Amino acid sequence: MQLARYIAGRLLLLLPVLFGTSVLIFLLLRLIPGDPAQVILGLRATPERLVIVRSELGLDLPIHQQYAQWLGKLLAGDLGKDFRSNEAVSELLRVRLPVTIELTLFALALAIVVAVPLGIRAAIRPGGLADRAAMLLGLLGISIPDFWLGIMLILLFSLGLRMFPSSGYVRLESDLVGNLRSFFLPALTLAVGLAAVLVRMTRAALLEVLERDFVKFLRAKGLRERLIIYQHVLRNASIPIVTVIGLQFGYLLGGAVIVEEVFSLPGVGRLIVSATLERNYPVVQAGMLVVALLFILVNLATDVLYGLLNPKIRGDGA
Amino acid sequence: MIARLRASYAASPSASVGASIIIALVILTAAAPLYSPYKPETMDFMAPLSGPSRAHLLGTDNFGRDILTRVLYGYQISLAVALGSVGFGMAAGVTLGLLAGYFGGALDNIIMRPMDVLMAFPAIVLVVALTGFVGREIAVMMLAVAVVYVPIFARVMRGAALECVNELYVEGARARGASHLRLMLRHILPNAIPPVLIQASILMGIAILLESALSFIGLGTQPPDPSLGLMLSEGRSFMQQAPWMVLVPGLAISLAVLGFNLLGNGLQALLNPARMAR
Repeated sequence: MQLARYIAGRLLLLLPVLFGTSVLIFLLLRLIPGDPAQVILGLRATPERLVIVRSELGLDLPIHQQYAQWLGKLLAGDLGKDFRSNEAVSELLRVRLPVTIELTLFALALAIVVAVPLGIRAAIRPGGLADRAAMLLGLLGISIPDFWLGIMLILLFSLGLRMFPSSGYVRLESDLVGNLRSFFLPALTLAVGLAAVLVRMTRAALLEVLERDFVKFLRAKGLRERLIIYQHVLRNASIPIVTVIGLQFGYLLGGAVIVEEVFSLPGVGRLIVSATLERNYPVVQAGMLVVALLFILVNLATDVLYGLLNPKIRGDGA
Repeated sequence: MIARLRASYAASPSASVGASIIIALVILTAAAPLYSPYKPETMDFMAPLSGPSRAHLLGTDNFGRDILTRVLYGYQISLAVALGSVGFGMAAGVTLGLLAGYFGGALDNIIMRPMDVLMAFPAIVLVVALTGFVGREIAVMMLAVAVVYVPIFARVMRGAALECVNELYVEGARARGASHLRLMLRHILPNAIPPVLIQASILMGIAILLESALSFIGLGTQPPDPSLGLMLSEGRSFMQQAPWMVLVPGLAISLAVLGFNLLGNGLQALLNPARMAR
């Protein structure tokens, strides 16, 4: 019951952020120099046609009415139409969103599988081999640009060893193995940066808990070290780790923009970049909105997980 | 002099190594026109795609341009964007964070809630949209990255200011009748600035990554200017015949970012020894 109230409270707090986000995206593309009508018509532009297209887009209205109109359509699920192909933007996103989501989830899984156990080992024996490996990953992972790492992986594993395809995308429904193979290198590329942050955070969080009195007590009681670590310490250290994973998800979405470009994956990130290059306003607007929304929802999910992991936070009633 | 250098290395090897990398890069880059035998756009039609040699230490690209020279000039763009974006972002963010932390209450909300909204966008998406629509000049890149940095600096500054605001020395100065401005600038700012500087070092590195990423996808520096990200994207088509075209710029970016990360980590260790000792 309390948890339900906590979640409701978080959802309520979401509203102003969502409102602000929509205003920002709207303004970003309205206040920027350049006339969308001119862009749509290109060489076919005549003064009469410009007037017609502007009124079709609602650009002749005062700005607050434009926003209200845009928001109204948005809430009805109408994200506008692609300037070029005249396709509904919602349809474009429906096709491309799963690609980005699969890429980020795959990367997230890879990062967790490597970084959390490594961070734990590093914390158990500071200065040991695992600790040094963790430090190295933590430093190099955030210094190497992901698009370069992607290119190097292609050079080595695709062109050199021919183990994975260098680009392209196999649909999940048509061929599971092919799909996983086409996603492996991009996901690995994306995972390294996250793993770097995660390994440092895991190590730091564990070290902090290991110093607390209850650990000394459990040790004095004669509990096996493994049991102490996996049953007690990890549970207490999980909150900062979960937070970092939640926060980093946004960076994964950002990184996906670049990684999709390197591996020619047809995801939302690539859609935003190509739409930006051709000044395709509705597509950019909708793409940014979806990315921001995903980010906000993941943060909400992180908060809820918080509540599940820590009864104290939940008890505050938020 | 040497003794002092040795002492500072002992205090934080990480910060010293990081600072050395950065200083070396800045000097090599700034002095490049003085010692480099080539210009970044000089083409050697006799030697396109040639590997490392005495004439071209790190090889040439498809136009026969010297890669080492282009890397050195590319660093100028990277460092300019990093410095500009962190400068603008810090100036605005520190001001906002200081006001929010010092006055609190309604002003805090007015300043910080829009910052939350800005933080709801992955940096690269915001920067792509801004540069894509406003223009692809260096100044625009700087400002676009600065927009991403303002909320980060504001948050760090606000947190640090909150910790100082109730300290005795601030109370004392207030009791002596110091004005708000004086309290903020003379008493809180100097004591709250260290975490901001750590952040600045790390964000310089991220700015270099963002600039090269933007140029890589075609929304940053435009050819024929030598940007590290652009060199990488041009090198992709030739990576099997001339792997140095992608290897060199990538390593160059990593080295600079590594320098700033080492410096940031080291500063953190120096300013917060208790936390790092564990």
